[in-house]
Amino acid sequence: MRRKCLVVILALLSLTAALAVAQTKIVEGQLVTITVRLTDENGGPIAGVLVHFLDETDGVEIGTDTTDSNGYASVVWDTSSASAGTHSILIWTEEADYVESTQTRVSIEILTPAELRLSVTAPAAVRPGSSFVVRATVSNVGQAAAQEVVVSLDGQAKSIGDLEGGKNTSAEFTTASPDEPGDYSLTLQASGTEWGTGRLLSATARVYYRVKMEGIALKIRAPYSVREGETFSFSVDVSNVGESPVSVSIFIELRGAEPSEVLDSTYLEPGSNQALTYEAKAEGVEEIEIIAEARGGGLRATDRATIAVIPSSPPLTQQPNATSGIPPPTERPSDLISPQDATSQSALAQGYPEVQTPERQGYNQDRTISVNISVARGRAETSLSTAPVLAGGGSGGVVLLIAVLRGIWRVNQR
Amino acid sequence: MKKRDLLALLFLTLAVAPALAQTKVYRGDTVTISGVVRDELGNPVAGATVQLLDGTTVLDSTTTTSDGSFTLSWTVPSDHPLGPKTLTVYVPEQPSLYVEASSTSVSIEVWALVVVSASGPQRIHRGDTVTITGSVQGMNSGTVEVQCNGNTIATGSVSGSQFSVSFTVPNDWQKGPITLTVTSPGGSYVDVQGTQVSTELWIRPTIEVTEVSGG
Repeated sequence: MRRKCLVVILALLSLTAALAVAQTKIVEGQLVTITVRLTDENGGPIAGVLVHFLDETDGVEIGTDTTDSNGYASVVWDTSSASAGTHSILIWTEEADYVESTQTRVSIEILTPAELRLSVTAPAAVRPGSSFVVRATVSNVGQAAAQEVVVSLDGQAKSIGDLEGGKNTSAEFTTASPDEPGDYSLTLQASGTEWGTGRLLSATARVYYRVKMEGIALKIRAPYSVREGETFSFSVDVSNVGESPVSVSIFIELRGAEPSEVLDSTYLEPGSNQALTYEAKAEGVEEIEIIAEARGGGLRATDRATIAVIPSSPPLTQQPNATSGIPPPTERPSDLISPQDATSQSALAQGYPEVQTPERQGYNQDRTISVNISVARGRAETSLSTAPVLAGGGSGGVVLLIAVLRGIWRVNQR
Repeated sequence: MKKRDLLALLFLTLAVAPALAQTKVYRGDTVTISGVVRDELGNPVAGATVQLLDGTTVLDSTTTTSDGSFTLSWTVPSDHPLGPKTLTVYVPEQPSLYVEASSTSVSIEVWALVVVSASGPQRIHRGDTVTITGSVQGMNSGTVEVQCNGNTIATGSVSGSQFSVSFTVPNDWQKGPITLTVTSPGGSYVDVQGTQVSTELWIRPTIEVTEVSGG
């Protein structure tokens, strides 16, 4: 039984030795133990023989040792000053005491230490409260492998496993921007351990981004009423309430007037607005409906207005027109809506709630709109106050408070 | 060649002198027989003829000096048969001297001397096949042996007095000086003068890297 155990132990020792020899890659700076055994023709140990260890590649003698009673000799090689690359180690003995000289070689590859580099890409600007992707690229610029590499961002940790020398890999994180516009940064960290030494590796990278407000607003300005067959003017005010320039395409549909649709476009700097004026001819209908839509930069805004068409018979509430005897169409005040007010009809961002202009229910009504916007992650609240003006001399005020929750911005004016 | 001296005392008054102890001679040796011829009164006889006979063959002949002494010699041929041999010292009848014939016998043994010379490598190793070559004087055929510490490790044949013997160095031989004795078994009436070949057993080591580990 004891003999069997001994055999097993010897076999395991042999296996260990074989595995150890197979490890010929060393990280620069490691202390390398090189052990040899000197045996005779019968496999018996030869003691008392001086063994030389020479780094042929750098031409440096590593050291010498005399074989012990079991035939072993070893040296410890400090690779701090060794050049990177494959080193040929010549191991040789001198001829002495009826033991001839012998030699062998072993190749040891000196690897430059593992070094993690982390680079991060993220959008230069994002919208408030939006999700965006941060892409981290981890590179190992050394030759030694980095093991169990983990990249983390704000508590999110992604394991990317082992990273061989000279290789890189990427990991993506999805994070959310703050609700408040401004300049922000994200700090990512990569960590791991160096193969062979277990040395801790780390790298940190910071990426800066800006949270920007984006939005366009749209407002139709049109008379309350026109005469049947009359050519009238109306305008569409388009505002860029965001922080980036935007090209806007405008589509206007007219129901009960000619032309039936208008296509236009414009370019708006941040904070600017533009009034686009068109003409149309009223048809013989009771009411003209104008539906305008603006699109640009992934944003969308709409507005809708109605115009009462006055038939040939005398008007009910207007004074007769001096030339036609028909009371003139009622004009809307031109300064009732400021560009900022139009924000209420803007869509702040792609994926954000679309802001629709309040739908008109009557044809002789107008309003003054002031809007304050505060944006929180995932929702936006808008308070809107209007001052309705009744057509035909009637006037009044209505204050509306509009709350827009989770993507539903809807202003109801009645 | 060696010279073997024998002493024969002839007493003319005696028919045969006592036989001398058998003398060992090698082929090629020269046997020398010396003696004195005296009369019955013990007085030396000068001028007498003395012969050395192998049977009836006269091997040598001489005349006694004034004191009656004489010396005869004979070189043993190299192909002379081995073994015991009797030579006769004979004083023929000599009327002028009033000497009657007389003789005595001398017994010898003819031996062969085999001399071995050999050479081999100065350095040997375990497992090596080592060849010892040499020559044998005094023997044209037969066998030679290579011995180490009294043990025969190889044998070979002699051909034309030359030989070549090979053997494999055992794995249990220890490193250091080794003395090999090269000899021949010999035989009857054959003396062998062996030789020694000095060599050294060196270890051919194997060096093996058992571990390369970083720490």
